[in-house]
Formats: sequence, C-alpha cells, structure tokens
Amino acid sequence: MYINRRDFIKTAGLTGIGFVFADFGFDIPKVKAATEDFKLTKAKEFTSVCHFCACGCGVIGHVRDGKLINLEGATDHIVNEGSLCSKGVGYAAIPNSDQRPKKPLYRAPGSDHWEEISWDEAIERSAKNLKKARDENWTEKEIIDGKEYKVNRTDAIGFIGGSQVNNEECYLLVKMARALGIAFIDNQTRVCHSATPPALNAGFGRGAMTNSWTDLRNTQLVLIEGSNIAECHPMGMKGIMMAKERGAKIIHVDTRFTRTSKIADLHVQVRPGTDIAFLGSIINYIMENKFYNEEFMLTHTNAYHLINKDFKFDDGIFSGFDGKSHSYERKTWGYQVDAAGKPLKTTDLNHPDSVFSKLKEFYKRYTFEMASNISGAPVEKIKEVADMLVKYQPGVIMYALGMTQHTVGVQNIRCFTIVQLLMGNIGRSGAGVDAMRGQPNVQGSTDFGIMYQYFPGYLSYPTHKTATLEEWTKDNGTVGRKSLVNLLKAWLGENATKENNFGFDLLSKRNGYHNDSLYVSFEKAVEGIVKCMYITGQNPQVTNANLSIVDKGLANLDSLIVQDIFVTETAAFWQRPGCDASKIQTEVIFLPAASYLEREGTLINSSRMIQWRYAGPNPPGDAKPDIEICNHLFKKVRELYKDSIQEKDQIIQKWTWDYPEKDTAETVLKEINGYDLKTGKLLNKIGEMKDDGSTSSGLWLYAGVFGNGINKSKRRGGTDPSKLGIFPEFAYTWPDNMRILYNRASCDKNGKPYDEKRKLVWWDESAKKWDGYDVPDVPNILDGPATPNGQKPFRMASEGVGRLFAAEHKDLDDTMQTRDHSYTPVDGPIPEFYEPIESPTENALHERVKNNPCVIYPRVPELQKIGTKEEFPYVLCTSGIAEHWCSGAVTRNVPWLNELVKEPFIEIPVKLAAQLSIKSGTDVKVRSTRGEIKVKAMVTDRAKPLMINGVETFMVWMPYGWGFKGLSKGPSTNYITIDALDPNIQIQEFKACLVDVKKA
Amino acid sequence: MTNNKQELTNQWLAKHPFLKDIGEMNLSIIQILEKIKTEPLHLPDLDFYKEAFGKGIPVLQNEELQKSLYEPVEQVLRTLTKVLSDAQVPAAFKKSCQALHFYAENNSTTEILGYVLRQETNQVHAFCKKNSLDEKFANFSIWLSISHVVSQNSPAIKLWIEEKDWERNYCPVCGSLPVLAQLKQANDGHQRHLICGGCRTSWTYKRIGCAYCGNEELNRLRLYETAAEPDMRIDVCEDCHTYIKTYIKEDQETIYLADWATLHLDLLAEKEGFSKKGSSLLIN
Repeated sequence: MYINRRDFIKTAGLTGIGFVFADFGFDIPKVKAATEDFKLTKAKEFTSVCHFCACGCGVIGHVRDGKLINLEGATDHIVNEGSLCSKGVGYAAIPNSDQRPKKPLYRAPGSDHWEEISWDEAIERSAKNLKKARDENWTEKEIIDGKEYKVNRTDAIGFIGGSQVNNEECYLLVKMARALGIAFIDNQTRVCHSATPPALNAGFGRGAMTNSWTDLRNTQLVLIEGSNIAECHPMGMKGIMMAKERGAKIIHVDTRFTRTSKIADLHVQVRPGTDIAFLGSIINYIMENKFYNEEFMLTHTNAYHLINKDFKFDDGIFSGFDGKSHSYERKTWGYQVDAAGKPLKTTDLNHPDSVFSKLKEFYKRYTFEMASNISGAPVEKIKEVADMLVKYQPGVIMYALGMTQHTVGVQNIRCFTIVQLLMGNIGRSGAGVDAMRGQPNVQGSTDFGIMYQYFPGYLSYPTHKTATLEEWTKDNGTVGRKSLVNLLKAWLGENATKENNFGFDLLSKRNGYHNDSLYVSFEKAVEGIVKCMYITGQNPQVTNANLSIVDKGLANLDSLIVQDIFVTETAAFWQRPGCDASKIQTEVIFLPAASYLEREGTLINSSRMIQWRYAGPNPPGDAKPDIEICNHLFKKVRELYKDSIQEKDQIIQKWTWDYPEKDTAETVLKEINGYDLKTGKLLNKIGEMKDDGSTSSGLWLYAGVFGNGINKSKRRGGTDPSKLGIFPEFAYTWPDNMRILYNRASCDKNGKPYDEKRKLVWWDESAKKWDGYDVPDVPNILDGPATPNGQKPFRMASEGVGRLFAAEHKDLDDTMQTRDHSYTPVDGPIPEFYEPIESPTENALHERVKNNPCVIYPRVPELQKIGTKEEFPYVLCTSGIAEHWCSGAVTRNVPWLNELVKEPFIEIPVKLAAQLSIKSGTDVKVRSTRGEIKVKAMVTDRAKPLMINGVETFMVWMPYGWGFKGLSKGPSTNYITIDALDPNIQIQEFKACLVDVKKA
Repeated sequence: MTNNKQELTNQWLAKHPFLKDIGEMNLSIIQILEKIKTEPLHLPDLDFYKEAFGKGIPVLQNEELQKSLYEPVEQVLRTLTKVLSDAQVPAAFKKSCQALHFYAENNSTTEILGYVLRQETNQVHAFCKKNSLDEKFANFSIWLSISHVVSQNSPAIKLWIEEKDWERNYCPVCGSLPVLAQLKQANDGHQRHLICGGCRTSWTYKRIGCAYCGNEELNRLRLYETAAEPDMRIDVCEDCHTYIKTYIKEDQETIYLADWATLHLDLLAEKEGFSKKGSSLLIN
C-alpha cells in the first residue's frame, strides 16, 4: 500500500497544529515524544461573590485537586473591577483553614466536650429535637382580647439566621420554619439593617437601596451619614472616588473622624443618636428658604395632599397616643378623602392642611442652633452641609448602621427620604438613598422574609387580626394577595386551591401583640418558653446587645442546633471562660457547613443584584452546603411526621419538598422564580403572575431571574449603552431587572427626562411606550403620561407618589376593596427627635418626653437596667473595622487579618484620656450597668468632646467583633451594650449607651 | 532583534531542544521583519468609522483602509518570502515559500490579500488552488505581513480601538479569532487579554468563559496545567471542544506569546481531544 507523507504524519497521531507543522517538514514526532512524560493536571476557575459586606464583589477562585490555590478579584465585575478589600482577600485562608470542623459534633447535656457523630445521627437528633419542642409546646388556639383564635403555632422554637447563606438556602430555611409553625423567626438583619425596609418603604413604597453601586459615578454630591464606608464597604468607595474625580463633593457626617472622613470635602462630627435633630434642621432650612424642587414635589410627591384635620403633634407626642400600651392609634394620621376613599389634594402648596404645611410647621422648631445644641455640631457646619445639599445636584445620600441601630432607627432614615423628596433627588441617576447593607446576603434574608413579621417578598405574616385570607387581604390589599397566592402555590402546590383559600388556613398565626424578634426569643428562653433553637450562619453570642441574656437563654434551652463553618461562640457557649459546663443541660448539635466558596447558589447585594456563586473547592471533611443540610433536615422531619393524623401536622405533610440531591440550588431558584402552572414554563417577569392559582412564585420579586429558562444570575455582560453604569446584562436585579428604582420620577409629568445627560427612561410618543436604558418603573409600559398609571412614579406606595408625610393610607379599588396599603411607622408619620434610652442629657425639644414614647424598655427589668449619666458619664458607640467583620467568626480565623488587628480596644479622646491618666496601650475597664470588660486603650483625637446643651460631653468608641473562639480571642463588647429596641422593627441601640471608663 | 529577545529565545530552546527547528525558523522570520520598514498608513478619519466599529466591524474591515494596506503588505510579503526561501528551513516549508514568492514577484497580490483580510476562506482556498499555492503557508505569511504593517502603525490604530465596550471574541483590528490569551495583573485580580491569531493585536476580554463559543457555564470549562510549564495553562471548553493557551504571568511575552514556543502544549491539548483555533496556520 502506498503511504504518502500526510498519511504517514497522521499515523503518528498528529492532528491540528501538529499536523500542519509536520506537513511543513518540521520534526513534530520529536516534540511529541519529548512531552510524553508531561502530566496534565485538571484544574478549574470559578466565579463567586464575596462573603462580607453587601457590595457583592466578584471573586475568581482557582482550584486544583479540590483545593483552593488562589482567590482574586474579578476584573470584569461591575462593582469591584478586580479589587478586593483586606477581608475579601483574606477569605482565601478559610477553605484550607485547620480550624474548620470536619464532622458533625455533639455535646451531651452537662458534658464538657464535643463528640464527633455521623451526619445521619446529627440530622436525626436535630429533627427529633425540633419535633419534640414543637409537639410538646403547640398552641392550637389562643384567647386574645377575649376572643378565641386558631393560631396553630409553637413559641418553643427559635429559628435564627440567613444573612450569610445563599438565597436558595434562605428560601428553604424560611419554608421549613413556616411549615413547623415557628413564631420566633429572625436573622442578622434584625441587628443590622432592619430599620431600612420600613423606613424606605414608608417614603417610597419599597424597602431597598434606590440606586446602585455603579450609579455613584454620576453624582455631584455624596452625603455619607452614619457609615464608615471606607472601612466597612470598601468597594463602595470606587464609585465615590470616580464621582470625586469628576468633581463631586463628599460630605461625611459621623461620630468620629475616620478613613471615610479623610476623603471627604467636609466632615461633621455629631453626637451618637442625634441625626434627626441634625437632619431636621436641614429640612427646616430647605423649606423655610424655598430651596426645594417644587415641580418635583407637585408631580411626584404627596406634598399637595390634605392631611386629616384631627392630626396633631404636641410636646413630643402625636395624636392618638396610648401611654399604657406605648402605641398610637393612627387614624388621625391619614388624608382627607373623597367618597371613593381617594386623598383630597390642594393646588395651594401652603394650604394649612397640606402635607407641605404640616411638615414645614413641624420642623420650624429645628433651628440650626437647636440642632447644634443637641448634636454638638457647630451651626456653621450644619449650614454648610445644607447649602451643599442644595447647591450640588444630583446628590445621593448613603448610610449604614450608624443610622439604623437606634431606638429611632426607622425615623432616622425617614429623614433621608424627606430630604431627597424635597430636593427631587429620587429616581434619578446620581441621586437616591443608598442603604449600604452589611452582610453578604442580608438583602436576601430580608427579601425572603426570615423575620417574624414577613412572608417572602415583604408581605405581612398573618396575626390573629388577619387570621383569614379575607381579613389579610382587607388589611394588605389585593396587590399583596396576588403575590401571597403565588407563594402559597409554591409552598403547597396542588394542596393550595381556591376552595381552601390556597392553604392560608393551614398557616400559623402570630399573636399581633407579640414581639417575636430574636431579642425576645432569648428572653423567652431565659423564661423557659423557648426550648430549642436552630441557628444558621449567625453568632448571637457575640453580636446581640446585652449578651448576658444570650448566655442565660442558651443555658436554659433543652437543645441547640448550630450550623456554621466554624464552631462559633454560640455553638460553644458552654465552653466560655468562667462557665461551669456541668451545670448546663442544653444538648448541642453542631452541623459543619461548607464555606461560600464551596457551595453554589445565588445571593443578592445591596443594589438588589442577584448573582450566582459557583462551587469551587471541596468542603473540608464531611462539611456540607447549607442547602443540602436543610434539605436533609426537613426530609427527616417529614419522615417523623409521615404517619401522624393530627391536624397540626397536615401542613408538614402537604408542604412541597421534593428537591433533588444534585443541582438543588438551581431547582430551588426555579421554584423561587415561579412557573406558569398550565404550561409548566418559568415565569419571565412579575407581570405574568396571576391571582387565581394558575401561577406560582416562591418570591414574587425574583420572578424573571430564570426567565426563558435562562439562569440570569450567571450573566456577566459588561456592556453599558447608557454610559451611566447601568450594565443591563450583568446578573439580574429585582424587580424585572430594574437598576434604579422609581426611575419614572427622573422625568417630568410628560415623560421627558429632567436631566438629558443622565437620562434613564422616557416616554416615546411615536412608539407609544415607555423606553429607556433602564427598565421603566411604571405599572404598564404602554400606559403613557396622560393615563393615571403614567403618573405613578412611586407605584408601590398606595398613593403612587413619594410620601413626605407617611400617612396612614389604603388605596381602594372600584369595589371599595383595599388594593394596596402604604406603610406608616408606628412612632409617627414625621420623624421627631428623641434622646437615646441611655443619654447624657435631656431632650431639648420637649423635656417631658425624653425618649421615643413607643419604646418598651426594660422588657425584663431584672436583666435590663438603664444607666445614668452620673454613674456612666460617657457615650459609647460601637461599630466594625476594615480588618474584622461582624462577630469575627470568620475573620478571626484568618491569620493575616489578626496580624493587622489582633484584639479589641477602646478609642478614647485625647482630652478625656488626659483626665483619666490613660495612654495608648493602657489596660482599661469599660463598664456599663449591664457588664464590664477589660481592653487596651487607643487614644486619638478622632472624636472630639462636644458641647451638648451647654455641657462638655465625651464619646468613646469600640469595635464589637471579638469572643472566646477563633485564632484571635478577646472580650465581647456586647456585654456592655444596651438592648433597647426601635418600636417599629426591634433593632437595638448599639450606637449610643452610657459607660464609665477607668484604668484597670 | 534585541539581544534580550534573542537571549530569551535561546534560553527557551536550550530548555526545549525539541523545538529547535521551529524556533530557528521563527527567529529568522523576526530578524527578517525587523529589517523591513514600511511607510505610515493613511488612516481614514476615525469619527466616520466610530459607528461601524461600535457595531462590531473591526478596523481593518474598513474598505478604504484595506486599500491603503495592500501596497505595504505586498512589500513585506515579497521580502519575507524571498529571504525565507533562502533560509535554513525544512524542504516542504521552503517549497511553499518559494512558490508564493514566485507568485508575488510576478503578480499583484491584491486579490488574495483582500480575501485573507476579509477572511473569505472559500476564495482563499480557490485562489490558492488555481495558482498552485500552499493555502496554509499563504495564510500564514500574509498574516505575518499584515501584523508587521499593523505593528508599525500601532499607535494610530490603537486610537481606533480605545473602545471599552469591545466585548467580542474577535480582534477589534482585523477580526480574526484569538490564538492565545494572557492574564495581566489588574487591581487585586487579573484581566484577560486575547492575542489575535491574525494581526497579533491584544485586546481585553471577559475574564471567564470560552473565548470561542462564549460558553460561560463554568461547570463545562476546565483548565489543564502541567508542572513542566507552570506559567502557561490550557483553558478548555467542553461545549465546543476547543482550547486556548493562556500565559498567566508577565514579562516573558516574547516567549509565551509566540505561539510556536509552546507547541508541545498544543500537542497535549489535542491529545486530550480539544481543537486549536485562531492560528493563521489552520484553515478554520
């Protein structure tokens, strides 16, 4: 047989490029022979999203042989563009950390040690403990206000966690908890940002950051208040610095001069807890001097609505107050309405009953001098802030926990909504109110309603007052009902029918008078009511205020189940220094979880951007992804209940729960997205949902994330036709991939953009539809400006406009049924300044009402004392730092972060330190009425003494993220902080309590 | 050739003696090209072309620009094939080279240059067949000539491609597919740069995903690494069964961005069942 040269080369096994070179006469077989011994190793790269603050930075990991060998910033990520903060880079140490538990652990009652157990045993023990607590403490009926209600609930289980796990895990956690009838459902958002959703909702109709990290570049002014963004959201600084390079001005209002202040054009120091006084004076200045945007107010706000004539405010108290219950009857906080229930409006802005007039009158008391007396900020500096806010447009306001963690947390943020509505700074590019969420998936854990008062999607969870679907709809409206029906179809499948109210009757009902927050769950554990706790990715033994209550509560439980990547202080509470483990009868089960790099699923950042995390390295030992643990745990619970014939257990038997072992996260994400149940197709957008049970969606806001069967959370398209940082093809944002909320308000009443340079959306008269670079935030893109739907820039508020005054209002449909119900804070329709519960001074506005009158504190008098300024003369403020995060459970296990900051400390002003003979490095005792800890002092000039109501007042500051576990150990600051709570949302007053400081 | 380049290449060949003949051929090419200087191109007004470029039409697909390219490219091609015809290269290679040189000396090359530039592969094939030219060699040498002219005009052409939104997997200058990739440090990560298999231009591209079919499903993308060549890895796509060699460091571009220098990695990738793309030597 004749073999030509080409055939000869082919017989040598050469193809492609080797063949070509050989064909040219090069000695390729020699090359091939020389590399015979080269061994190829399979490896992979994977993308994920950082674990720490909610910037949602992209990372890329490199895995070889199942081990992480490199972690770096993703350069094509729209938020961090390849950069990472010290914590983000530091996480690379976690997958290979020798501190990670590799097997489930068991601590027997009274024991002083852990024992390794199998997963089967761990899951079985956990399921049986949950079942025992549930079965032995079931409340089928409850008499409230003399009337018997069917409530089908257990108050014996506390269910905590969600902000550090993926969306799909959040969904399964809350789905499991609601099936079990648990009332105490909560997560870290309670402690961090729970004030944000109600506050923003009250002003705008939705509870989330209005603009995006990538929109910051378009602003002319950034007001950062109550945040040290440079340390706590470092990648958020990227957009700010980009704006600064383009000429934007930066203002930083905070209690200390920090790394954030350093890049600001103006820094103003205020006393912790006085933001309403400070901002109230700015609102007053804008109104008195007519610096507001009148056209915007007319078109897009309720400024011209008429308020109920019976509305009053007198000496610190709004009309309708009941001192006994510390609550308001809110009837007088509504509008004057016509026969159809629609608000009456005036054409005269200064009509005595107009919202505008009420607001103006209200804030007259807030002069710069008054604000200065209260906050300690000089008058001229407050005025400078106000003038800059007026001068530089558009302007954005950014905030974090410095605003939320107060007994007036909700009202603090409400002030921002008022300022921005007055200035026309909402819905526009470069404007907005940007809530900087602090945990990687705290937006998700909030979206999924891992809070006692919500279903997924911010729908109110039913109480005895809304115990039937009819009552619930009457209170919440038909808009909410549609979303709820879709949720119930997702949860109950074919067991949710129109005839059985879509299974609503099977659900547990809360007692509407109960505060079921995690704070109360520990108090109830001390009381012996809560018997079992299941805690996932949260470490309340470090992060809760007034930790002594957590100590006592955990020690009084029958059982505790902790699921985490490290054995946290919470799991090991019985090992804390000075504790006699033999006296603690709590059975503890520890379930080792996979780190974020080791599991897949989505999470959502502050800008509502849902991103996919791919799984990289293998988890250590037998550690498992949370989604797998949850899946197995609830399957075991169902198995335990499978033969029950009790009515209370029907819900567990009827619950949909048939998730596969592989690709679980995508299966769950599809359920969250929702289906057209007639065609079996995934929903493409929220508008495809029906209210008749023919569609399902586990979370209405996320409908579309899996539209057309494409997992859009995986998208990484970097094109931006707007050049405004919209990036419409990068991942997916709720709702419907909209990047800037309320963007209809960026146009005038005719749909023409106010700012051509920064235009987002517009009415296209020739095409007869709304169009834009962003998804238009309108009820229907075909309903033009001439229609009622074309004039609803804040369509999720029942009035359709921005709410300067958070009136009590239900929008009625043609049949006089509630269509939608706006949110009104329980402590007032307008923010009023009240002193923190522990304060060094009197309330300068109304001496008789010093603190927020709706706060109930102490709740447990023997455990919650209130310190006085005589015994505890200094104000303590606490927060995080760049090198350690939250409880430190992760960061204190990263050696190089510990090298950067190795222990907790207290920052003391120079003048105070001199008075107390303290120097940097001196050991000091910090004492409040709740406890005492010993730390080193750091003496600085960053928080200067302030003159408050004529008295020199000192503030000291401490980081809070230490405990007795991890590679770096130290006393927990939260033994001394106060657990007084905002009455709207039960967030604690971390930012202001009273302490004494002495040399140790 | 600079001493440094020469030294690096010699060092590489000393470590990889099995690449000697290919390496020497490439050294010859570099030396030849370094001696050829061309006149600056007359580039058309950038503003007139911006819109088309924004829509994804590469610079050299501009008809006017193509016309101005023919003469200098033909000049380079003639010199290149002439010198290579006399160089110490394998006989088959030399034969192909001589054939093309003979053709270029006696005919206008405008027609085939146009086909190659516009990537009209069928016409290239027919043309070579008709004129008894080795198609692969023609492709290879014409792209070498084009890349040399482009490199001599790179500051001017660079102005054209300073367009951040070029997210495409083909070259913004000539439209060819990439043949190599490089990861360069950017902030705390690495940005991926693709290197054109035609004109050798480098452009940034999305960091993760197949450079050929666009597959972004990371569960169907893999890497091959070998301890023998720690600075170069092979990124493979299980969707389209292609691979691209990626240089993961900086400073040794002379070696790692010369495709021939890691030919052995190509052979290993091909042995695993993956195909190379983007090389001007391959008729894709």
